[in-house]
Amino acid sequence: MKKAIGSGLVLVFMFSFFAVVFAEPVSTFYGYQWLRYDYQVYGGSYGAVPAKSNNTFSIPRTYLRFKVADEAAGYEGNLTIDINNSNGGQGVTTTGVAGAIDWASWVKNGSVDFKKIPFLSDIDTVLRVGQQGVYFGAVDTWQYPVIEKAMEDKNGVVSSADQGIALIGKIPAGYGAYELGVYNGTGYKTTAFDAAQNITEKAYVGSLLFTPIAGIYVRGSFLHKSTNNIASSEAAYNATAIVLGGATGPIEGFVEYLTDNISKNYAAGSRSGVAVGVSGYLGVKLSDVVSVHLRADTYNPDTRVINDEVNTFIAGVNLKLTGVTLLQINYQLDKNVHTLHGAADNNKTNNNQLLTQLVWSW
Amino acid sequence: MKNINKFIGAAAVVLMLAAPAFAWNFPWAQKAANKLSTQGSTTVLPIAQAEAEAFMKLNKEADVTVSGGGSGVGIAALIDGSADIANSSRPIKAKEIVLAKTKGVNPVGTIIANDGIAVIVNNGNKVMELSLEQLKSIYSGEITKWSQIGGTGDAIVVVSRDSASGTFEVFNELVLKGAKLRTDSLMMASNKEIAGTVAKTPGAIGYVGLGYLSSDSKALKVAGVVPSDATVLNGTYKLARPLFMYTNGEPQGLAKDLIDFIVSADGQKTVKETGFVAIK
Repeated sequence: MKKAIGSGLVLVFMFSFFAVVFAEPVSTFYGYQWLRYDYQVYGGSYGAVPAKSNNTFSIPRTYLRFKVADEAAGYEGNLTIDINNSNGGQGVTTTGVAGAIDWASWVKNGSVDFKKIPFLSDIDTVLRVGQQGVYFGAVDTWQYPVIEKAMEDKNGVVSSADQGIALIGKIPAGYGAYELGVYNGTGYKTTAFDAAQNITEKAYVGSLLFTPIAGIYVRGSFLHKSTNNIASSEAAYNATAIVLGGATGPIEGFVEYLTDNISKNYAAGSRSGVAVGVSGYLGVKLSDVVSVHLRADTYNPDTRVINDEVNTFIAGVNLKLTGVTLLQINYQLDKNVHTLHGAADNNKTNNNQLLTQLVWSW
Repeated sequence: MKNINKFIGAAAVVLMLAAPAFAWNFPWAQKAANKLSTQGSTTVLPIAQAEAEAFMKLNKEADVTVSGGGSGVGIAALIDGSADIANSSRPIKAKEIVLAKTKGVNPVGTIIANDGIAVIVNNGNKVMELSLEQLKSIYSGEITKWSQIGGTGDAIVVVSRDSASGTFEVFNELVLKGAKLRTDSLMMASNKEIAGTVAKTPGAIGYVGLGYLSSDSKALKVAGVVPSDATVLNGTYKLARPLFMYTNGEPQGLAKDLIDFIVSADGQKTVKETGFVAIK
């Protein structure tokens, strides 16, 4: 069934491709693919024999992207189809790997920008309708200088894309930008919060980027969503992020602080419902070809629960082999404290990963 | 441990294979003062190439590279540090300014020339002037005979630049404004070909850069204004736009020397020779 759906998607994709290629507006077909080798050791508790390791090739992302734009008419449509494959997803063994995906296909983004709406175009604002990025913290601006996702995406704070309507505008004179969005709230994939909720109410997101001078920026984001699961006591989910970034010459980096809050009456003293995360990134371009990248995150899913933090440390080297190929080599240490993990993950205190990924684009 | 050794071995092989692609030009090491790269608009490309050649003749040590790709590509290259100068046939967009600033780049534009387009007809044509709306109607196929706009009854032969040219881009932006070009238009690869075709074809209409006007064809007034360097400079002629070179901050070093040369009398002479309008 999955393969039939996949084949159908490919046919739709090809039809769409030829349709846009021969259409009057300017159309572009582009995209990229991640070819990854992952050597991973799930660390045991303090020197115990590793419970499991991975030693796998995978193609975790294939983005097929189309853009159809007619500047004169004032619209631009974008479609991104993601074909995903993950470690163990090839089904070579009968046991497989939990959560592995075997060439699933889905629409990651599908939206149209309206650029010539009266009044909005006068204030340099675009109306974007459809499945699009969620404009929050660093999740929509993270360009994967290291292989790991942005902190809020990795920890399920917000989904990286969702269906909705957004106003995307600029502050005059290049002093910044803003986004205001209304989304379904469920995301294109389910976050930890959504999985436990009955999300039918809309999510609201607002972000403001301020660039006072070249090389320094600050971005504040707020997200609110609620549930209609009246029977439960969960009423709302609020998340806030502040990103302070800078760049000068070959060096760039940022620090992000985020907090999210599930309003719920937990059993006395059990949980606060408040999560806090801090992420820092530093990248240095050594030459036109070589750059080094460091990232450190700490994410505390609940401030009242002891030893539930997820700490991530990443060191990476990127080699720009050609204009369209990038080789990324990362060492990643996830110091996951096991309290919130299932029984199968107990004692996996340290996950050591050596990742090599070739990104090629067209 | 055995697997880690395998990984390290594999990584070493990959690094060795990638080694030829390395270019250890450390950004903080003093960049060779004689090297300069410019990239961007295909419209600006002939000016940039001609100016770079002239500049390097005067400055034997200078090594200026010029490439195209489009205005957006040039500005992206300036932002990511792969170009020193972005050539652009349009002002930088607000979103590009914001992106540049987050990357520590402060784009500053200098107008280095103007791009003016003259509408020409055969010398035997009685029509002297067209409005922008009439031009749009002619090129979109709504008006097909000269008699509809005060001329003789000849069918109008529409001559255009090919859609890849910067001149077409300007014409499309300033005249067609979203309308589709007549499907039977004669598409020419150069200004010279357009001028030649219009000169030989009684019912033809075409458009060329101001530098390509000659007595072989007749330039029409557009919206009541004669196309000339003066009317482009004073802003009254509507089929014109400025061309830019963007740098990170005010131009400095070799970039400043090149831009100063382009806006000098000698540089502006080259601008005119390449078919564009000087800035002064």
